[in-house]
Amino acid sequence: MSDLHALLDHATDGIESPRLEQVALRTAHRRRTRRRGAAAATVASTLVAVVALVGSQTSGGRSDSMPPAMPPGLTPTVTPPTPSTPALEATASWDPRDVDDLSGAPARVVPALPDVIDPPSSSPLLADEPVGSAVVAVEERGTAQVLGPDGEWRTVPLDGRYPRIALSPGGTRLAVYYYVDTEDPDHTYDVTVHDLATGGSTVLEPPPGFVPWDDTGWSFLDEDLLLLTSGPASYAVSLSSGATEPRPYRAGLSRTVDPDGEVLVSSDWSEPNVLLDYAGGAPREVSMARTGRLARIVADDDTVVGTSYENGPFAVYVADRATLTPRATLPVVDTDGNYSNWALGPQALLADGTVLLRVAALGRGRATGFRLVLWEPGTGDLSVVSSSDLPVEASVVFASGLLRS
Amino acid sequence: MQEQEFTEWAAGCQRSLLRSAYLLTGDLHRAQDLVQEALVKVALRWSQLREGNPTAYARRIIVRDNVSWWRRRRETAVADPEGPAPDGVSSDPVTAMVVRRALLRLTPAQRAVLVLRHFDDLSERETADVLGVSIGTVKSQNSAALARLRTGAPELLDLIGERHE
Repeated sequence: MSDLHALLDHATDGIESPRLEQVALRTAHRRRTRRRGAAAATVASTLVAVVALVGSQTSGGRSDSMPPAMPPGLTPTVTPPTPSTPALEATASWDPRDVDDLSGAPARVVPALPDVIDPPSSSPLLADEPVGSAVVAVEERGTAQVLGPDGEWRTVPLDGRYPRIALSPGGTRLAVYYYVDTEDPDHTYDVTVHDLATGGSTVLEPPPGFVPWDDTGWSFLDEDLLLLTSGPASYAVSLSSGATEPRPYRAGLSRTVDPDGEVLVSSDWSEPNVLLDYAGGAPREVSMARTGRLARIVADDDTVVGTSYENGPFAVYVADRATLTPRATLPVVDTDGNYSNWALGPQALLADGTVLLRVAALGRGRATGFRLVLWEPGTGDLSVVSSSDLPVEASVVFASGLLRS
Repeated sequence: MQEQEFTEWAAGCQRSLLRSAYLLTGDLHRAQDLVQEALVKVALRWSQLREGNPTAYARRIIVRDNVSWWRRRRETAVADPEGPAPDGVSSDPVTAMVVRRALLRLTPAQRAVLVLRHFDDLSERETADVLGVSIGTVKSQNSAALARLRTGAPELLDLIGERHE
């Protein structure tokens, strides 16, 4: 087969350069413009200092007790706005306790999602009736269920305590693993990956030398490649072969995988205040001074969305991926610290630049499920896409790629 | 300035990318779509890719997008393996047809390894980096692909033999 190269070369020697460079540049420009254009409407014509937006709470601290204290010496420098980075106009704060007063989002904004996420008490076994893919999976009381594209649920039995689940971006795989159970002497850190198209499953093991940490967990880089993270170590594990290889991703405050399978990590409080962007090879460090340290990040080609309270009141930030210059913010009333701690964060960044927020419904003094809220960063409009009354103990995960599409 | 750099880079590599994408897909139109999307993604990240290896990044996008496309449509018709090669892809239509038919008998993963190793001349390490898999996976997929061609596409071997004569 040593002449295979020559044969492949000969078989394609008539293909000319497609001359796509200008088309690509224009398309890239349009995508940037589309995402920034709406946000630009909110940019003040005269510069309004970011520090004005973040207000006096930077020095005064928060009245609630929930945010963790930053280590000494890590207080970020507030970057003053420059003519090339116009600051954002102050935006009215939103009180998410009123989430149920929001109107419904335009129909079909996320076609794959049902209006209500409400798995039945029982459903056919996935192994008996595969569904192809699922946009959402729910783990509750020791059973996992996935929602197929036809609106039908399927059950994936679980056989251990403290189960964790993850859906692949395309929704064709469900990973199931278990948090360490000190009462189970046979506990393993294996993961079982269920194929939603066939109903079959594959068990993958951590690599030799693997050291478990409290945060050991499995997720997906794409449909065929899993990511095992454990403390400072991470590994890519091939679903088809089980082969593992170390990856350089650091542990952090938040980690996400973009639509191309590239990883971004928001550094933890004990680390320098940078976002690590592993796309394109060597990790690139981007200062988070302008946004504050970002939690619950999601990202696409040129945008990062996350939450922060480091530079001021708790807010959701939409920022340029290359520089983390904020394009839009949604300040959030966070009187009791619930929202900054666990009850509000980006779930997905949609293809048109809108953001899907997952917001716990706390309006009646206790959690009554969550709402998926569509936030249009340019106009500030908020609307409810989908809702769930599942208890907070339930684990609900989504297929990020299906949400985007 | 950055646009000029990008334009020069894209002008230099897009023919090679398109030929690879065509070998991956057997469909020239879809290959162009894949290349265009890869170039757009490189353009969006040019500031961070320009000092590295943007061509490797573009290849990765093409391969991954192709596998994603294939997976989304695996229950529907894909390129007809028995169909002819598109006009103009080769100065030798018979070779083009035989190669296309042979490659379409491979799985997408095997085809990706074969094209990266034997057309793009990437090393096993470079191929593993592009595909996001281990070197062992590259080796096994490459062996499986070559074995499948030997048994399933003898006409390809005949062509290689003819080129020696």
